[in-house]
Amino acid sequence: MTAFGRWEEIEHLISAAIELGKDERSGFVQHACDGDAELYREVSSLLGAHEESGPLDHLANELFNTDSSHSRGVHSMSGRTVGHYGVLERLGGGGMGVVYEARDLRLDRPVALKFLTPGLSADPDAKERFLIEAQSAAVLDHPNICTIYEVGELTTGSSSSPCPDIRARR
Amino acid sequence: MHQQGDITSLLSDFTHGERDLLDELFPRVYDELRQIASRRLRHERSDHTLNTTALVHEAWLEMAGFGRIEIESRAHFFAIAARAMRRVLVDYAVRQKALKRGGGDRKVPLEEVQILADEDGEDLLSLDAALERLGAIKERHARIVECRFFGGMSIEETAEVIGVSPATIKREWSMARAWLNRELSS
Repeated sequence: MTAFGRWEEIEHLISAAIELGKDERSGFVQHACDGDAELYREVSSLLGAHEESGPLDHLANELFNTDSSHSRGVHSMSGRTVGHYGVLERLGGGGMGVVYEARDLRLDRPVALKFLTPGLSADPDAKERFLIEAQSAAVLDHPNICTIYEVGELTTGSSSSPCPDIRARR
Repeated sequence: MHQQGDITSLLSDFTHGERDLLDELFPRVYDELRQIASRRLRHERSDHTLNTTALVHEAWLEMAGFGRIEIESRAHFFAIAARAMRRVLVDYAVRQKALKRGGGDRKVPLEEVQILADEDGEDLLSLDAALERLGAIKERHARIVECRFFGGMSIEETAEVIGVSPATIKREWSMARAWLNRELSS
């Protein structure tokens, strides 16, 4: 059970650990807990629950799943693996694209994945604009602008609808 | 069926100033969402999934867009709608469970019979109970889960509704999600 009196302390440690790479997390938690076994156990256990997809996520998928087969076409990429990226949570979206929190599984680092809005993936002009945006951003090197790691197309499900995506550092 | 007492207890963790608005609006938003959900699911019977974001937005357009309610703040409406969405789904789950046990003593409209898959209904009730426990410890965390999970809101939208920074929402959501996943796994 959570040591409720220490909720904030635990929450801040988890929040800080999440910002690190997976291999750095346990070292960080060990150091931060400084021999406090109860705190260490709690933070490690919740961090484990954070890193995996659990019943809450499963239920969200079951109840509110809006995947590619769905008539409304607002398909969710959460929980999928795209190339060597594990897609986590949807961070936001606009008219043009949808951005997800993701993890580069090869280099084990956090990334952001931007997908062209599914409804636009069949539109060549939209695809072109999306690529231009990626190319323009890729030549820039500024702390407030995402570094573009990669851009490509993927095939989703059986519908074979190509969907360009940009993979960028957060 | 929905009881007035449930509404009151559901609303108890809102601040006093918000209570009047909630008391008045919650039942109406609840009914609106139920109607929209039933209508949607009647047309998409094979697919027991709901797009809660779309439902909540549709309710907003129906009610505020057509002037059927007066509401100052869009954020307020969405906070109420997220809670009402939770109630709508939990009530479906409770009703289905009762029917499955053969205890249904009133006529249930056909379109409401199988809104949720049985297993999802059970899971939803477990989540609702876990969310009550979370709310007793950390009230705001439970509200964040309502907004994110039942209201389909983004981090930014949730921040606007709750009135704290997106960074705070992100941190508290991570904790709440991990905590609930662990609660529900054990």
